Amino acid sequence: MQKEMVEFKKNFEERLAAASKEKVKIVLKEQYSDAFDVLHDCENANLIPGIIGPPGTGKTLLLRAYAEKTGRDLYWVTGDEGVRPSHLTGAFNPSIVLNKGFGLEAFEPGPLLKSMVNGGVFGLNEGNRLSEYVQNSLLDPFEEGSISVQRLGRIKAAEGFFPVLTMNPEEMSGAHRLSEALRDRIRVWIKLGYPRKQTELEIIKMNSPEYTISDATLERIYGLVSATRVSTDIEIPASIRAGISIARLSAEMTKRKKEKSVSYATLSEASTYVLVGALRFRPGIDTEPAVNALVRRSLGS
Amino acid sequence: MASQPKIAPLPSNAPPFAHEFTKRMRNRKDVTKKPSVRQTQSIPMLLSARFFRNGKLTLEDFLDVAVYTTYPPDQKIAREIAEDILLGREKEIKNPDEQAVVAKSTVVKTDALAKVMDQIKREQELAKVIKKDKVEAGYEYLLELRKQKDKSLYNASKDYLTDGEIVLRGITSNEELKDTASAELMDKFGDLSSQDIQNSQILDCLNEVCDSPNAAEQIAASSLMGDKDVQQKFSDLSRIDTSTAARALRHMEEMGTLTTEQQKAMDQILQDELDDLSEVADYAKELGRVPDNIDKHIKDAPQKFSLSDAAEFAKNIKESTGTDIMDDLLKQYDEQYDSGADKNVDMRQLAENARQSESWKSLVEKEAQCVLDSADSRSSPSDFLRSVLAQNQPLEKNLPSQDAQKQWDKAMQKFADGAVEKSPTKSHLRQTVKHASRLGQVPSEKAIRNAGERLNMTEEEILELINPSFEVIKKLIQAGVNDFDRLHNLMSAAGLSPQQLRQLGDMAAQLGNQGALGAVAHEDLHAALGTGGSGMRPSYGRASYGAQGRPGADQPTDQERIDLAFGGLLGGPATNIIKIWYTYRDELPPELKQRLFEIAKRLLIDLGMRYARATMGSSMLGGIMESTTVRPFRIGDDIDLIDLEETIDSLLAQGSTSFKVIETSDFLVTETYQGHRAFYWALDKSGSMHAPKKLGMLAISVMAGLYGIKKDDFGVVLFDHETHVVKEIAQRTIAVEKVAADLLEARAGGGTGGQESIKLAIRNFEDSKAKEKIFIFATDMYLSDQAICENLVERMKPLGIKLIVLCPTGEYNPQAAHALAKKGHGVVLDIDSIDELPAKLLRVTNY
Repeated sequence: MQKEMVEFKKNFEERLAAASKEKVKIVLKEQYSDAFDVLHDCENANLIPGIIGPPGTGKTLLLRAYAEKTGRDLYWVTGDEGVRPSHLTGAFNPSIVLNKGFGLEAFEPGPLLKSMVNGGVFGLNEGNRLSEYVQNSLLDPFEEGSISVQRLGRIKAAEGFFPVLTMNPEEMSGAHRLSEALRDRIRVWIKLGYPRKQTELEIIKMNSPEYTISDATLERIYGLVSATRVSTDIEIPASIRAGISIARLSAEMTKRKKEKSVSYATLSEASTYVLVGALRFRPGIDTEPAVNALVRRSLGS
Repeated sequence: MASQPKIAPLPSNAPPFAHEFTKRMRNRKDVTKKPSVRQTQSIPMLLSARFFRNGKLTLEDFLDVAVYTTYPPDQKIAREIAEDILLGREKEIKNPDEQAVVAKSTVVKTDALAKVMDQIKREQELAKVIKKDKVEAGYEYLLELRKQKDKSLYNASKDYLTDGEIVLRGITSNEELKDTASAELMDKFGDLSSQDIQNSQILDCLNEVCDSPNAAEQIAASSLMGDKDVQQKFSDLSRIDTSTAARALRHMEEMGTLTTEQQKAMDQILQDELDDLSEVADYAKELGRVPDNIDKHIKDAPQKFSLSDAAEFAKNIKESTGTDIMDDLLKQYDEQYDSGADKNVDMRQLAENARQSESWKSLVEKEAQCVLDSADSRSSPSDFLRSVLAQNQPLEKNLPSQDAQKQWDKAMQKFADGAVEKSPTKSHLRQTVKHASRLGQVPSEKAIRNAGERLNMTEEEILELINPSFEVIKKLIQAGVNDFDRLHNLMSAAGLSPQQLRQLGDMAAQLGNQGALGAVAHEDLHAALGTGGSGMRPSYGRASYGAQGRPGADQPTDQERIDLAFGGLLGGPATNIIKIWYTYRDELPPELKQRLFEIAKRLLIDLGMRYARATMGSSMLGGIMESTTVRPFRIGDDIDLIDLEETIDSLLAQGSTSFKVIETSDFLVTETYQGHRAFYWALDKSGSMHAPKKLGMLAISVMAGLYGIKKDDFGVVLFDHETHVVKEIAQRTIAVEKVAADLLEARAGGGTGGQESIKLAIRNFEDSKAKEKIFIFATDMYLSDQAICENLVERMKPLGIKLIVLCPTGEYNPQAAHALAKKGHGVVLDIDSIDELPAKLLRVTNY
């Protein structure tokens, strides 16, 4: 048992080191480079930015890259109705409290408090999905850079604390609205859309460094994912991530089948595997036949 | 119009700009969110950050910052206002209001045109202001450029820059022009045409094209440059990527950089590398011709591709080259059917790719036989064939020719006969015959007879299946058969006249055969009760019941018969009884009507409960509420949720006496759950809905809705030309019985106006705190106010209301239904019978 624990500890530390060595891979071009600059400006001007873009356009990646380039950690949380303020700031572990009282050692900090104390970038994903009560609990940290931790006192955020909100443009209105108060605290709105063809192809290539994928295959993949973005039957189209997945899966399948290049059959198989889960169709449309038809139409032409 | 910017791009001008900008934004009526003081602060803050980063500010920075600090839905307006301020267009500012008034009265087209013109004007002005000094120089240069004898540079640059752009960008020399045009050209990398590659030579960026990320463009550019190793590069590319190679070859052919020998040699290399039909399709698409060895690929296709995929390639090849290979393909699939091609063919693909050819027919026959053979390996061969028949029979109507339909019909007949022949029991055989007949594929007499004999059926039983006739039914009733299902199936299959039904009813009543009388009642209630009139023949003595309820000429005198008939009625499907109520409610004497009403009401409530359970279960999707149950603490839970009483109680119950050793999970916290959802049904009862089937179906669906979401918000409204509110969401307590009674008394009539009910729904939803809001619009969509309804439902998506248009299959106006659903981002659900409702509703809602 002890041997196993020693082994685990060693491997765990190795992995920790590997994670800290890993560089964020991002194509800083066009909208991404503009957004990156604006993030810089916002931080210097002490303004809180919101990044608005459909799923999979690289909002989180941009934040990760920003944190890395400025030498900080990124802490992030995805909002939903179940998140409560204690999930953001942290909570006491009652069993330790019972023995040691309400002290710091009984406290398990949440991502918001960590980023405030360590001076990191705090990404609040889909903040609009938080309940209004939780959204309002963010006003103090966002506006004043301070937070009151129950029973421990009020703290002032460290110098590098930089909160950023990211959300989906579809939800600017409707059931999941940003609370009026929080919306007013977001001072700068950066819009991200799907990148231009060449940039998207470059992103796919960058994320599949171990495979050589031909131009024709890349074009087909792009054709397919961009077709999903114009179809009126699709509510959530293929993201850049889906394009990368298709490229990688088809390249790997080709390797396994020992084919010289990605064949039609392989590409269509890989695309179907990826898109069945990646797309959301309008209600009433059966996913599988719709994906099959889409793949056949797009790859065949 | 001003030709100078009103505000110079200096940091000191940021605060006045911000103030002016937010002031004007607040005055605009069409902004979604009025800017707060915070935005006025943010603009100078962001601008100074930019100034310190770049060392200077431009007018575009002012514009960007104004847009970035504005809430996204208003960013368009922000851009407009910021431009107005920067360009000093005070006078024009007043105009938009006036223009807006005029614009409203003009047609949409002019509106759109004006918008574009406005945009162009603004851009031009902006450009003028920003680079005014350069513009004149640019214009001079353009004039000079056009005068030059050698037009090649001008022509090449025209593909990337318009004359206006040359002027606006202030281009003053050939070098500058080449640089600017090259940059535009290089932006198109990956999408270059042959002309672009040729232009790159004139614009001095051919070297850059040689390094394009696209291999086809690289090779074509190298070839234009006269590189010696082009052929080698091409053959390397052909080995790994034939379609990009085909594109390279097309570029080179179009540019004429190859000698005939080189072209032939490269084409040959490429053709030799083509692996399969998909690559042939790419080759054909790029080069507009088919390779010489296409026959080989056609021959290989059946082993490699499904028929649908191959057909798609054939379609593409035909579109690019005009060569139709579909017949050859089908021939190959047919010839290789037994040697592996069978895996790539199925009935659906054959239906989708039907052709007038012997090969197609032969394929259909082989595939049908194959399905029949494979049935025996299934756990229930007959059920398998029944489902195959159900899947494939409807495909027949889409086949292109009568000949093909005939062939398809033959295959379907085989499935129907097969299903009959493989039926394991008598009742299964009866069901199979009924099922196949309902699909329109009556099993052959021979097959039924064989199966009947195998199952030891009597001659009568067999005849009953082959020809369900009056005489057969009569004999069965006389023989005392009182199996409701069997008799009812026969009666509906035989298509009996009211007189015949009457005879059967009389006989069943005399013999006291309740099952038979019930079966008759389900076909014709009057025949069963022995009353006059008929649901099918409304003129048959309908007016004979006066206010006193005086019996007609052949009125039932026999109370026993009535009891027997109502008893028998209950043996049949409840949904049918609701339909019977709507059919006969006006034709019965008061006491019988009341009796039927009570039965229908009870059944409607029962049905509601039954379908509710099947459809929705009980889910909660709303805000967070504290429940009365507790669960163990998990790290991250709010410590305030710990229920100390329960925790201590449970610790003591476990026998703990010391709190020193205590686990996190020993603490119990109050469970939280999410709130509720809201449903609103609008039910059309207009004249066009006057059919018992439609009304019955909708009534049951409303009841199901009512039961399924008892804990949630629920509202119902009935409408024709006026609206009748059954229940508003705010009315928390209302008796189910009242809703059922209201629904049963609903009378179709009058024109259809949906707008009031939609307005009511929206108002109800606005007052509801539910997180999930669903509006079910049950109608046949023959609305008199379609346009107004469409406008109204447009408001639903922003309010988070999900729209479901529920229509009776085949009896509604599909265009109108889809138009409405599209406007409201909703969905059309057509249901043929109430049994379909749970599954279909389940698919579009998340329960």
